[in-house]
Amino acid sequence: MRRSVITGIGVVSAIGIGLEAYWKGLEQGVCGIGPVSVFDTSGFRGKLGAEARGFDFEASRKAIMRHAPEGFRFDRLSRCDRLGLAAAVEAVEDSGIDFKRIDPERVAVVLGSGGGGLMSGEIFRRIIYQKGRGHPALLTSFTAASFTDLIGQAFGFRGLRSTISTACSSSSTAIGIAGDIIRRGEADIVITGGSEALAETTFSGFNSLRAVDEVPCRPFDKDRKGISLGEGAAIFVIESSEERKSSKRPYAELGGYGLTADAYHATAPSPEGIAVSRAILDAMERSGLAVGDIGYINAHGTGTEANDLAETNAIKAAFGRRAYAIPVSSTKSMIGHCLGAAGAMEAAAAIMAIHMGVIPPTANYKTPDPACDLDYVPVESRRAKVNAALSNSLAFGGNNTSILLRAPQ
Amino acid sequence: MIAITGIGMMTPYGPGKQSLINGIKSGMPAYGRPQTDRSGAEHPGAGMLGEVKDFNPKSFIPAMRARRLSRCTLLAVCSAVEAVADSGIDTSKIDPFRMGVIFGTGLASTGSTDGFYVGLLENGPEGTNPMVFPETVPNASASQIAITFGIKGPNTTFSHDEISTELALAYAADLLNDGRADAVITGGAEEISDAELTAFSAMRVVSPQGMRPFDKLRSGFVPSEGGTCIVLERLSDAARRGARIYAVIAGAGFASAPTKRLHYDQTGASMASAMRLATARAGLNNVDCISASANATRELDCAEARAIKEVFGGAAPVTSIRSYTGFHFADGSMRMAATLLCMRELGMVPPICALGEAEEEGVRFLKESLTLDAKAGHSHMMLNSFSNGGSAASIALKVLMK
Repeated sequence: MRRSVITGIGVVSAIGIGLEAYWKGLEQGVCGIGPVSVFDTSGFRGKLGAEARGFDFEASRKAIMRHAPEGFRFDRLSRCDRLGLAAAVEAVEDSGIDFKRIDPERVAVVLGSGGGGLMSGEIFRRIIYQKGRGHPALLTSFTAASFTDLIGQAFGFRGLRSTISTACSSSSTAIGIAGDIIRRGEADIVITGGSEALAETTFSGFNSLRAVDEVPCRPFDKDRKGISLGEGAAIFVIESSEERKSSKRPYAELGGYGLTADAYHATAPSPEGIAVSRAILDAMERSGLAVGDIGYINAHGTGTEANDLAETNAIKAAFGRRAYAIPVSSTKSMIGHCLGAAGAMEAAAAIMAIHMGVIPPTANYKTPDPACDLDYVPVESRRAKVNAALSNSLAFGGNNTSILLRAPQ
Repeated sequence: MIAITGIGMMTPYGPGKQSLINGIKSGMPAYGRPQTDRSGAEHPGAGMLGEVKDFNPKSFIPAMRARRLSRCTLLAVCSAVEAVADSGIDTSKIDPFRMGVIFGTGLASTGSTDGFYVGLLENGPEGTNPMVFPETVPNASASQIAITFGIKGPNTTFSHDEISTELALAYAADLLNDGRADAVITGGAEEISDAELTAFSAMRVVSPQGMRPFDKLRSGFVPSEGGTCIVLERLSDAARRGARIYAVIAGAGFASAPTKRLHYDQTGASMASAMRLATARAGLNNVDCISASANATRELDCAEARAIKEVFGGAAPVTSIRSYTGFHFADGSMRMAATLLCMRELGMVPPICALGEAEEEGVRFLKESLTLDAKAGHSHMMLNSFSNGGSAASIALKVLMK
């Protein structure tokens, strides 16, 4: 069977630009949640966010120009496009694949984003609101498909393009589907992952739902009060195990994934977590692995009362007594909740946990909650050999995805 | 082999697939002057729109529930109610984890997204409406369909501009082929909002006169809206339960080109690739009908015409459902269902509405309806969907004649 191996990774995050800095931040338990500068948050109850503050697109632009065709336009990019392109060029170069020697029709681009160029749309709308007439160029990058198209265009890929937009599980699902495409032989290489930029609409949306913590989020902590929004991108180069083009040892392999729906509520998760546990079990079954094989779970762990309890229940329902023996951490405590990019950024954390033999912690965790009583790897990372890890993503509307990553076979 | 066993549609001709069949048979376009107050929108020319006429969600779902949902979500949910009833599947009797919803939308609930943001501009951070925010996510439609029927299996939403519903359909078929579900509701929905009209107006792509794809006198597209749901099952399962089978998915092809955003692949290379992949996977050399993607913009119309010529020569008859309904990003499943319903129920391929003189030569653009050979038992169609930014999708179907 054609398996999917991961040979290139690129990341932009609040705790570091580039995979190396990202991993260092995760390993050291650095919290990237702080003041936001991309728009004014002073009127909101929850003012903090995990902004990719160190992000400078200029360095990436030079790298992209080495690949992009003449006439590639950099002047209409949304922030989501820039974050995504920066992570993509890092992933492509990290893989070491010479794409000029590969049939471009055999390279697909499958990505996830929740808001896409929402911020560009907001600027367009604000100008209309204030002056009555907007600038249409701002809409070039409005939809979530924009960064998928731009990555395809910049690198000259000609295979299938697809964008998944299911709010907080978008990029997890994209990665799962990318694996399907490799398995079925519809492409030899897939560029997959996700990108998301902070935006006023989502920032005020979660505030209006009273779902934002006023201090950096505290997933699974008894005193947790909600999420901290974040932004970033993580992009992967995945290849068919049968047609390897990269000479690198893969970071990890993509296993199976599970995809279920709560069919419960527009925003709240179903408290028992039955559909989530089903997604977890599907991911393991489709990877041919059992409960005892899982060495780490990167939780969705948003820091809301409802999510963390439902997810804890889901893990217990899937693993039974063994749930207490598996380290479960929420890296959102460091990088914030990156919505459509969250699944990809957390998959990167799980992949690196396998690759480096270190489990990243749940930062900001102080007070245990009797209802959430698993091993959440508080504050400090932990050395451990991880052969297989799960990454969970639970979205608005009850769209649940669990993807399995494993050590290269 | 994957079969289509249920169809539900809310189109500019009105609710229900029968209004669409009657409308296309009449030969008159569905779009026209708006029924609803559009004074809030900056909209050019005569303001032609393809609004879903006489749409009353309360005849499909409880009024209290309808009040909370956006127009896009309502179009999706109501078409799902029609499609599931049409399929004859009793959703209360199946394992909820064995049925899925795989949906496509381009812009989703633009009215809610815009309304929520304008609330922020007008009233500040503490003045936004928390009831509206959940409807701003593109997956609201698929989630609400799942809630309507208690469906807990695979659920996801593709949002890739003009190929959103084609990606959804192909993925839904893959899930069934992989045995990950026994039935899937697929399709797409989109709403017209004042915000969207203002945006289209600023982009100068809207026709003041009507939508005339492939015509020398084309002047841009007419924005439209709608919801279409299609129930898919494995052919063997559908046959076993004695379901009515509208059509079988024969093959799908996807490709792309390095095209700028808001432009179409003028080389047509990605379009030809997608059509070739779909026909090859379906084992076909020709089709009885191509349901074209052309949206009355010069770039797309001409490139598609040339790509069709390249792949099929001048043999394949070409029609355009968009010439009747107008255009929106998630209209692929609607165009597919409309074409196959005309072929199956009316035994014909409808002509391109109001086509005068076509710009490209050597393509068989239908000016009159084409009667199909009912004795053949089946005919083949190809749905084309080509997106701005350079993505291409083609889906080949074997339509079972009535």
